[in-house]
Order: sequence, then structure tokens, then C-alpha cells
Amino acid sequence: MRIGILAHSFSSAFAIYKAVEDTPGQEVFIILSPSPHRSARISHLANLARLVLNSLKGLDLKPLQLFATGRLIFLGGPFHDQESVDTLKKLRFDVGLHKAGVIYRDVTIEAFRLGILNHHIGILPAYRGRSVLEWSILQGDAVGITVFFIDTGIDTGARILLSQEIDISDFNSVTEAKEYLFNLDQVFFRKALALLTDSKQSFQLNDGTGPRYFVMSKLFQGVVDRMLQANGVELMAHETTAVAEQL
Amino acid sequence: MSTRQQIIVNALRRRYGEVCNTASQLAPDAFGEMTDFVSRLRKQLITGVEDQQFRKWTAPKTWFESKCDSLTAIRALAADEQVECIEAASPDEPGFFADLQFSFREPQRRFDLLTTRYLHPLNVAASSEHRVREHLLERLMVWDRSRIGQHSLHLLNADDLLLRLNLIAIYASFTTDLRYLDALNYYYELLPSAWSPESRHNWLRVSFLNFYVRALAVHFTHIN
Repeated sequence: MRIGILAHSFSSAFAIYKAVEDTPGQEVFIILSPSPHRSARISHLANLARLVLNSLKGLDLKPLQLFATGRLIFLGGPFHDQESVDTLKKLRFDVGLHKAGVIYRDVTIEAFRLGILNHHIGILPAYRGRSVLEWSILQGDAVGITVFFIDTGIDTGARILLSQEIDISDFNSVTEAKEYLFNLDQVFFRKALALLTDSKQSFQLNDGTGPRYFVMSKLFQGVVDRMLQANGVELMAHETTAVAEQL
Repeated sequence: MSTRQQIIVNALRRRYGEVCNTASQLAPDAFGEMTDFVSRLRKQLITGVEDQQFRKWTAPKTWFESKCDSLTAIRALAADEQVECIEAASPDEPGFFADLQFSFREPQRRFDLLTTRYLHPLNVAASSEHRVREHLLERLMVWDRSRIGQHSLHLLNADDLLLRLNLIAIYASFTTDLRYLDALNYYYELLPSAWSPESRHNWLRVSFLNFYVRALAVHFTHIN
């Protein structure tokens, strides 16, 4: 299976690369598109610097090998540019792993035979959108991770590959818990790829019925932090009555 | 009450006091011909710290028909007065939602569309308005939030922004969906407390605070 990790930053893509590169029968590439906030030139230079730093830091030749073997690809523009899409198509990827801060267009998604996988730190279909970890805690629901094939909507891709509740009761702040969940992308992408190689693999349906959540206010962020400190999320998640039902 | 509920109630009560305090710092003279109205609302908000009594609102079963215009009705509701109305059939305007979406870059048109549809502002809570409410919430929490975050509050049409905040704030008193209340929390934190736009209907800023306070009181009362 040919896998493309889609990212703006080499460092974040390389962390995923290291987690999935040794899975049998897979060939992994890193595809870097310029950051939307920087010019292509500055973006590429920054990524080359990161590549060298990653090599030096771990005395690891892999970043340089990636570059030398043509498995590190720098796109000249956004993922949806015709030139970028042509490049992706030529590389005949089976699956993409999302690690870039963008919403993809159909032309980009369709350049991957199976689609692009996203690691979402919420349980779908109930929790779509932003700050879903915080909203799950606030409403007394389970916290977790969903890996699903994205579409052009906000967490509305219909095919869920993997969904799992995660215990975050050891954390005292949302910031720490969020960092932990985001960093599990390496583990969950690996699990998801293993599932994809299973010919009997079926998908759960994301029916898109859950509301879209938005960035949370400071007031409610403070509430969520206090909840974590007061009880531990695991206890709260097992309370049967959600706050909303009490209103 | 569970620990979680207690934490939420404490936060909402604290915010309630903060908003009333913000209202006490309003200068009614800055609102031109609406000085008297703003003075009344300000007084209401200040006394609201001790007395959380509001006239109970009822959502329309289908639609409220009113002879008021939208802005007059908003002022009446904010002043905790009754708006005369009768139950009627939902308006047959299938094109409204599409028009609203197409008014994406035309704030004045959106303002006109909303004030024309919601002659009685409580109609925003009608079950038929689900799509509209979600659209308004999304625009506020994605597009407008991003623009304001880029320090371009002055580039937005203040009346359009405030009208939508008023409508969302009205609905927040009817729903258990905390996303609506949190949009008010968010905008209360985002908009500078001294913000006094030089727009025709800048008094909508004060009615927004009033509806926000009502929504906070409704939520913490119900949780209690």
C-alpha cells in the first residue's frame, strides 16, 4: 500500500512517518505543501532546516534518506492546485494521512484511491468540529478518538475506520489532555493502516447527525479545567445524566 | 446537584455578575435618541444582580404574527415588556434560507432579510428555524470570529453583527444546547467592553447584554 502523509511541516509529518514506516507491505511518502501563512520559498527552506535538525538531533539518517530517495515531496502550492493534484495522481497513493491545517477539496481527496484519513480527537458522529474534547467533558460524555475518511465537510466523512474511548482522568488541564490525544495520532494511524490491510474490514457510519461544535469560550474552558481537577473525567463520563438533560 | 453541575452554575453566576457590572459602565448619552431606552436597560441590568426575575417567554408553536417591526420588538423584549402577537401559520418563504446564504458578503441585505422575517423576534425559536439558527451560529463562530480575531472589528457591519447576536441570544434562553449560550460567552469576551460602534442601531449592543443576562439566568436556574 502506498501512503502519503500530507503536512505543512516536516517535523510533524516525520513523527507519523516513523510510526508507520515499518508496517509490512507499505511504502510511505511525505508530501509537504507550503504553509498558508508563508510563501512557498520560505516554507520549503524552513522544512529543509527542520529536516537537517531532525537528522542531527537523533543522529538519524532517515530524513536525509527520505529526501535522497524521492519520498519527500515538496509541492509548489496548496494541495488543491492543479499541479499539486497532478503530482499526487502520478504517485498513485492508496491512502493519505492528514496532518495539515486545511480542509481538502474533492480533487485532492480523489487523488488517493481509498481517501484521506483524519485523526479526530472526539467521538463521531456526536462531536464534530472544534474544541470537541472540551465539549465532551463539559457535557459529561466520553472522550475519545475517531479515525475516519474525510470529505469536504467538517468531520462529515461517512466512513469511520476506528473509534475508541480514551481515559484522560490523569490529566489536570485541557491543554495537557489535548496534547496527549493529538500525540496519539502516531498510534492510531498505525492501527488504522493495519485495519485497512484486512480485507474483511468494514466501516462504521458517520451519519453527520451530530451538531458542529465551535471554539469554546474562556468561561467554559475554565469550567472544563475545573471539572478535570475536581473529579477526573472518567468518573464524570460515567454519570448517566448529561448537563444538557438537566436543563 | 453533581460536582459538574455545581461548577457550571458557579461559572454562569459569576459571569452574570460580570455582565451586570459591564452594563453599569455604559454611558447612555452615547446612544443618541436611544438614550432613554439604554438608561432603562442599564438600570434593569444593574438591579438584575439582586433580582433575577424576567417575564417568561414562550416559543411560538408555529409562528407569532405581530404588528410591530423587528427592531421595536427587540427593544420591547429587552426592556422585559410584552410584544402583542397572535399564533399564525409559518410564513411561506422557501427562498429565505437561500437568500440568507447568498447575502454572505452583503451585511445590509442580511440585516434587512432578518428584520423582515423576524418581525416578532421570538420566532427565531420556532422549530421551523433550525437551519437558520445553525447558519447564524456558524457565521458568528467561524467567519466573523476569524475577522474580529484579525483585528478587523471595524470592518464588520456592526448592526448586522449585533442583530445576529441578539437573535442567537434570544434563542439561547429557549434551548438546552449549550453551544448557543457559549457563543454569547465567546462574544462577550471577544468584543471590547468599551466598544460603542458608530452605527445606526448601536443600542443593539445593550439589548444583546440584556438577552445574554437572561440566558445565563435561565440556564443556571434550570440547572439548580
